[in-house]
Amino acid sequence: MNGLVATLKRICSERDGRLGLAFTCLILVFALVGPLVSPDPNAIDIKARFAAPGLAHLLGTDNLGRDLLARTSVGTRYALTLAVLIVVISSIIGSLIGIVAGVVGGWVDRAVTAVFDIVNAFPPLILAFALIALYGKGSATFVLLVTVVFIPQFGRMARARAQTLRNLSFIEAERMLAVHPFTIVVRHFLPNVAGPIIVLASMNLPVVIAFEASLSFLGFGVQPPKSSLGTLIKDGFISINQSWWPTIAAALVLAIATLGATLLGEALRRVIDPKTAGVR
Amino acid sequence: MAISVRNLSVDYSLPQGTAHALRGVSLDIKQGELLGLVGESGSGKSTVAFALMGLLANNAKVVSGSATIDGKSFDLTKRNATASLRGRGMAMIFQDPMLSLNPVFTIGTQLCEVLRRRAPGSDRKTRAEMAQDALDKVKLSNPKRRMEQYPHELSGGMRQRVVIAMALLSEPALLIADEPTTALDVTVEAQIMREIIGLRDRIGCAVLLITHSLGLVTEYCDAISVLYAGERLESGTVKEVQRQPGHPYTRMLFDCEVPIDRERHADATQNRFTVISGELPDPRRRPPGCIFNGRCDVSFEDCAAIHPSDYPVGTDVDHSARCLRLATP
Amino acid sequence: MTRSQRTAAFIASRLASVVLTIAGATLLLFLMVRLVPGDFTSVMLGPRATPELRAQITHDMGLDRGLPEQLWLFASRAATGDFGEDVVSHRPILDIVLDVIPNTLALAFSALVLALVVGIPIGVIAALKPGSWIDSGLALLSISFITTPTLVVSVILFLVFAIGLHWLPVAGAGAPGDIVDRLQHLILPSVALALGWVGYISRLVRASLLDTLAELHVRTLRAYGVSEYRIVGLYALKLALVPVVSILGIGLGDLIGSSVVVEIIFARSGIGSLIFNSIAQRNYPVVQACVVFIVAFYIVANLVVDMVNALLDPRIAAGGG
Repeated sequence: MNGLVATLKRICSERDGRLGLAFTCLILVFALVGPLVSPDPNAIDIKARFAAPGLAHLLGTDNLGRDLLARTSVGTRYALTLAVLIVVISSIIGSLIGIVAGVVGGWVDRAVTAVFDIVNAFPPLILAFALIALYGKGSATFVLLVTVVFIPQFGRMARARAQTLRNLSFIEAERMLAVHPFTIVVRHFLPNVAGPIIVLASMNLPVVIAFEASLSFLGFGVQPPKSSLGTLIKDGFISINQSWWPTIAAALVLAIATLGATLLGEALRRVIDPKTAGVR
Repeated sequence: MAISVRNLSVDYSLPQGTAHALRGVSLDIKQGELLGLVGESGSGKSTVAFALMGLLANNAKVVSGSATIDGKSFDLTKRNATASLRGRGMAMIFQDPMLSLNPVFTIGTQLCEVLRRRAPGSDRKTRAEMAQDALDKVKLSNPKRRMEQYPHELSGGMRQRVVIAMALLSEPALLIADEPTTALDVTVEAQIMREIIGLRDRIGCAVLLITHSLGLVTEYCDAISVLYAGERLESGTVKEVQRQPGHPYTRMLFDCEVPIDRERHADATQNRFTVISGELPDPRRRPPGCIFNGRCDVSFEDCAAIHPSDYPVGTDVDHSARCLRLATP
Repeated sequence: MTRSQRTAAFIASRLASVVLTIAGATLLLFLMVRLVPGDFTSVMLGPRATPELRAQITHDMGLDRGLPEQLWLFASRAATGDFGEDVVSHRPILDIVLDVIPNTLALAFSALVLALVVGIPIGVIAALKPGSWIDSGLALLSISFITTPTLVVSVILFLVFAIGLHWLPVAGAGAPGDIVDRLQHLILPSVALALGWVGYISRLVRASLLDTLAELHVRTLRAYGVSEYRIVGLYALKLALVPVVSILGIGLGDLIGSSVVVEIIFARSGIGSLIFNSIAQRNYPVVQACVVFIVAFYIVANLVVDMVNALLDPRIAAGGG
């Protein structure tokens, strides 16, 4: 808990960190509080379609007269939930695979690396495309398949750390003292790998958010009736000639969300692992 | 005097306060003379070199100081006072030759770059020939091939020869060598020192050799200056200073040297090294009196209060030291 | 080993790993397609499935034979460029893909050039005066470029130029044969693709240049009086560009992936929109062919990047660096 407070303090000590935290909180508040202060996101009101922002509808309405504030808020919440879920699952699975590969070495390591290389041979969006096209749409499948796309990154990082740790003398010392390998892994590897993995996860979050938005925009991600920021942009884009409010609202929220998450992730990286604070 | 530095004082501004790296340092080097500037780590010896070259870091400030090089005087408090001399009147050899050479350009390219400044108006072919000739002069085998090679393809000693060749090409009046052999094997050290002396013989420049090794200075240098915590405590010819050290610090330094033929006890634990106990003073807070006071073995009460000025030692006019003991006739 | 021997060995080892990766990726692709739930031919043909067509497909693709044989059939055919015939148009799939590739290549290439031409100078300017307000301003700009998803940039550009100002065309690739027209149509999509990379490259160049300028060999150059412009422009930049070249490899993959979004929004034909439409039409052989092309291109591009890197930094070819 103390660590959390200290980390927060250090993030706030620099401009980027403050901005990132501010934007992220803004988005979070928007996502959580939005529906409470606005009308029902599903209420159709054809007479009021494509309304510009006004008192009744703070962000305007979409092609079916639904309140944009409410819809974007719901969309944001869903998009964030999916992104966080994907990042958490892929980081955990990736780290475990990576640690095993790094510690065990030998053919296991070679096989895992080869698989990672092959997955990485596909541009991520294309790979997700192909997988979703073949195995179906829908949120559950989506999370699963996109996780697969992102696992190699975490796996590589975890493997590299595990390899460095494996060679350290105190590990050898413990093995000679016949400490159970499982204990070694839990006591030493997990904490040491956790740091960079958390940094990587926080830096991947905006990437996944944008990724999901792009896929949903193309119809491959979230399916109706659920909506995320990507689907909202798509809906808005289709009727862009009649009103650009729906598109702008969702696009702007997406931009702020990714900006905030990126700044926060960068600030977090500088706090947790200052040695790798290379590119700002 | 070919080279003289007067009253050089440099401060570094650090987050913890201002560090007085150099205080009132003065040096003289005759033409063709090899002066060894000796001091422990943190004594400020490299700072002298960088102040002369105008290569100090951004947080450094030359509070006072002037230099006369080859007849021309320079106000060292101005950042780029000696910029016009770079590559023409002054040359510097740095400590780590691997880091001092650009890894992605060939040796030839880097040597020719020096010539662009030294001989403007020359064409590429002439420069290449001059560069190759310089490599030959520093006794680098197969100079033609070396021109096309990259720094990582050469050994440490060879790289340092390249750096000396660079200095040779700029035909300086003053050559500053900042710990040129520290990063090299002892066996290579002698060769490199001979190259530096060869350079001096060939061009007739003054050489400022900065080192922490007293042995190097006594072996190769003509004159010696002792730097401690930013102050020059003693200077004179090597022979005189060795024979009759004027300052207690100098004497203790010589005592610390272990001659190779010193008798050793059968029981290894009986071998004793002489050390100078204590630590360098905090550069942020200079004591009012003599800077060496805390570690000196012959100090008396005045030493804590009075800052000693430069007193002559013995009969040699060039030999002087900052010690109150010398004040009493 | 002589330097040329070492370089040759380096190239050979990179080629070997490239071939292996392409082989592995093809295998994965093949397996992915074959392991689709349900009967493959029905899934593939969808509503067009008739018993005759299904039998024909089964025979053509060797689905009635063993899996290893199928793989061999697919791989050997793919290596010679035979991806079979499109079920609907009866054109060779290879032709269909080759039709649209030039468009995407033009887009990717111009985006890359744009990103380098704009990004590198920005990075150099920022590095020359670190901490100044120019630097901070450029930093803010770069970061906002990086973090805005291509989707958002494309949508906003489209909005501005389609609905607002009408300076530039927003749809299609332009009349074939009309270079000027095609170039005009290239502008907006390239900018949309390149913007994120402009930001990233400028930050990378700035950081890398600052690091390089702090290194000791730069001090040597300064000690010999070489002008600061020459130091930065020639000596420091060459070294600083090495990390930039490295990320270009990943950049190309990202570019190809993002080109799908850009091609859809700006209604350009290209391999991205081909994949998208084929997936929508469940035309899996075309999808397969497209992915093979993309993967091969991506891998080869990374190989080229490695080569350029070795050229820039001779330590890499020697196995060090």
